[in-house]
Amino acid sequence: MGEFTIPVNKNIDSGGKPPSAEHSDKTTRRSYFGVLWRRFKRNKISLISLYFIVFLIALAIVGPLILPFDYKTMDYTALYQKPSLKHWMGTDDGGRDMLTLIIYGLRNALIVGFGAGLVEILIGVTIGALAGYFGGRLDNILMRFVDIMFALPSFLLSLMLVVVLGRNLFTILLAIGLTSWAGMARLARAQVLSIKQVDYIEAARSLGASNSVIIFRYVLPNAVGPIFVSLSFNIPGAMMVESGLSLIGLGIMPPMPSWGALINIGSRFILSTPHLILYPAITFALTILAFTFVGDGLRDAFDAKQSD
Amino acid sequence: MEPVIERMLEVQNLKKYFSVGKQLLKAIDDVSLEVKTGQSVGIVGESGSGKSTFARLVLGLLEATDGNVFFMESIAVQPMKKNNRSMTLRKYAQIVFQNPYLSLFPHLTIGANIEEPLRIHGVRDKEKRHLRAQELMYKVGVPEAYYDAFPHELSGGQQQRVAIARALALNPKLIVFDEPVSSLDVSIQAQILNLLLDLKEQYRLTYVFIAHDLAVVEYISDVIAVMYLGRFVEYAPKRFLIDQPLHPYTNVLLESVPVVGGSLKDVAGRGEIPSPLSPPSGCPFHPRCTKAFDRCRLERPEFIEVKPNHWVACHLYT
Amino acid sequence: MTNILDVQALKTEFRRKNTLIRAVNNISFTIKKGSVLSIVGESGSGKSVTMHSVLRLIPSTGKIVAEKINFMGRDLMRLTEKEMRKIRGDQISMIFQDPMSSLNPTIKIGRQISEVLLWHHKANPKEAKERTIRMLHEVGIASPIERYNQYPFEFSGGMRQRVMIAMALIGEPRLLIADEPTTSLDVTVQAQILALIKKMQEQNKMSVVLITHNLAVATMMADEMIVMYAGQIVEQATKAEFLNRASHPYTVALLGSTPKLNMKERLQSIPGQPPDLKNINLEGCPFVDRCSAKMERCSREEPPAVQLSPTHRIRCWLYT
Repeated sequence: MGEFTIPVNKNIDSGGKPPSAEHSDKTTRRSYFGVLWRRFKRNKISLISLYFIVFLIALAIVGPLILPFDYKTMDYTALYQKPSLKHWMGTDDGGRDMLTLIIYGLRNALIVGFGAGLVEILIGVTIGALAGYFGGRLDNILMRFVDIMFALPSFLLSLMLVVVLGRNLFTILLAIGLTSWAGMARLARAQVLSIKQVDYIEAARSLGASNSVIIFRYVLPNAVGPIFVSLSFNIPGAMMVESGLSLIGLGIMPPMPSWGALINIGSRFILSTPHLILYPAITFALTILAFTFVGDGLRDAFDAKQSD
Repeated sequence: MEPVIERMLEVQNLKKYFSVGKQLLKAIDDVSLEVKTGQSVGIVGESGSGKSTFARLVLGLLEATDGNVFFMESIAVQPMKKNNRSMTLRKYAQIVFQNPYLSLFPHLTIGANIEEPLRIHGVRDKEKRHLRAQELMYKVGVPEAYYDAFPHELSGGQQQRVAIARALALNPKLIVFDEPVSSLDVSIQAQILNLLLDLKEQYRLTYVFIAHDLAVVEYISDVIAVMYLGRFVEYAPKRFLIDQPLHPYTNVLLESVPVVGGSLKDVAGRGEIPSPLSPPSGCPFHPRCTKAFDRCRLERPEFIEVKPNHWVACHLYT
Repeated sequence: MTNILDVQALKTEFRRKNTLIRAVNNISFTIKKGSVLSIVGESGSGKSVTMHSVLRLIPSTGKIVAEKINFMGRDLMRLTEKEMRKIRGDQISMIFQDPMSSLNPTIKIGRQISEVLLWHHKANPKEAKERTIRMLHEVGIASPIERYNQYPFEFSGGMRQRVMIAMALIGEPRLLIADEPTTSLDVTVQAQILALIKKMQEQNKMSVVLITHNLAVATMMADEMIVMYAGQIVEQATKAEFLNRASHPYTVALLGSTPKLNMKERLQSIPGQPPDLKNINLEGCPFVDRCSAKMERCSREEPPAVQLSPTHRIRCWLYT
């Protein structure tokens, strides 16, 4: 080469600095979810939305215990009252306290939303993951079933199920969950299919991992991202189906309040007593919006290309 | 004491056909190879030569259409038996892939990635796993502080070191490398190649080293097999293969290796590797071969030993 | 010989969140008419960003500052975007690493190539077709008349790169920028494509900038060489000077770590990791952490440009 030769270290070098100082702190073992949470926190709107949802859940649990009113008792001396110190959100056409009704409605919406979401996940992810991982005939059979579920109008189907199963909170969430998992199944299958192709699954097989270990330890943890994101959009979706059912009088059995029913009733008095529709509609919209923002935040957090 | 194993890997008449629509793709077509313990066998080929398929077949990650593969003389890798995961094979034979970012478990920390083989093979003791991971990180030159980092936080070279550490975790005897340095920067490539040489010496490992870059393959290997459209066309100790290549394709490969300060040779007109879906008749290399004659178009040359330990599939030598 | 391109004090910076990434850090170089310049560097060296900055083709988060970027007597820094568009693809054209993603999969390749002529009003449709077919023949595509009406997916990787070259050259540019043109190709095809680029360069008497990570490829093509590291030019020289007297410790180490056939000795490896542009040492030499010949001042003071000959310049304290 040239007249200058520079001695080069022949030892195996290491070099490079660790990603950041905190990693060297042995007391804080980092976990996958810790990293996700740190990324999620960076999106302020999502974080506020998450706190809002936590607040709503707390409200739905604690509210019924401490509220001075209940949702059943009519008070014909206090119909259509405007918001006051006694009734913060006024009263409805039966003289019931609006705040109480909204909180019960919230509780029911959350139960239906999370319950239906859980049912969707259980059925959808199981079917999708099995179809995607094992492929072949099983995939064919399962996915044709999914196609059929997808083709059927899910609102009508849940309506029929409600009629058959009866009208209570549990049957309604079941009806919604049972009819809307097809999208989740397709998503889970697509996720599993693409992860199955990645080298680390082959690496796991070459290390001797069994199918169940591969599915539960390597495939699913890496597939949950889009599934959770989708869930955070499906929960408000289920809430809307429930209000839709209530709106046409097939939802939760009165006098138990439901947001759909509240909005339905409120819409009749929209000119005379607008607070009857305004308050339920606003809380409903805010709740839906909060879930959507959390979904957005989750999507960003799961995007591994983001730096920490 | 363990019995001495001479032949680490034996591949006999291995075939792998894929059906693509109505056509048959012969990814590996009648390939035989013997890898002796402690040897480093390089397999060089261009894209579409079937070299990656070969790697997966010899490790039992893919089921062969026909032929046998034996590991450590006694373990039958191919034909694959249903539901029979040989843990001996999984312990003693490992693979390192081209893209370390895709081959590391993205949701596990570096430490957990390296400990994963131990977990799978039933090492319950957390402390023991942790110590082993630290030892391996030291061996491959990954700073200890990365133990809790995630794969995406490391550079490509560091990721590949981690993948190598993971492959070493169970004290393997054979490691198959599938293009382990082709996604890395030149300066990092040299680091990794030197690391591989050191590890081989230190642990008396046996390597099957697959790459498209002849200079890289030569650096690591003792013997080199040249693959073209699913078949070996030449096999020889590297000295002979590089200095006295017999097959015209090996010659083209050698001439194509860019050389610092070299001149551009006129290699135009030699074309590209044909689709394995419609391989040429006779010798599959004949359309690109400058020495082809009539027989090459009609008859496929046998893979024969023309000099001691120097095999070639070419009509020029029959 | 006169310069076709004269770049002085070019800086390109990207701002991501709160970090400033200095992708190209104050570099100057020239390209002579009708010659080939190879820019070599590893990832993070800024070799690609440099030439993209010359063409003003960088993401909107980036900022280009330069004393001047003089191309055939015009300062590209002062041109409007509209004037730039006239230059790109006409007087300066580019080919990229991945020919598949640079070709439109839904348009026949003949039309894609001839459109370049039509955009720049260099030919009428009939002439454009004739010239395209001639060009396809030139770049070594057999039966160009039939191939004219085929889609990109009907071509192999090497053939697609030939199509890209045809497309880049149809407008008879004065400067061709080839950004890792053979990196995704097999070695046998790489040799063919490099020979083709060289042939076309000599035939059309155009200038070529070859951006590559492969030192061997760079030296085989070049008249002049530039080695970049962490956004800076650490060494520039003519090919002969480079081959005989490569001097910067990084260049020397890079040469030592390139695998060659018939190697008797061990590869030299450069310790450490590729530069992280997010936290680069701005005080001293960017290579200091990996340099085997480093001195105390290297980490404190920025190395000066040292002229080893009128055409050979390096940035290193060793030679002061």
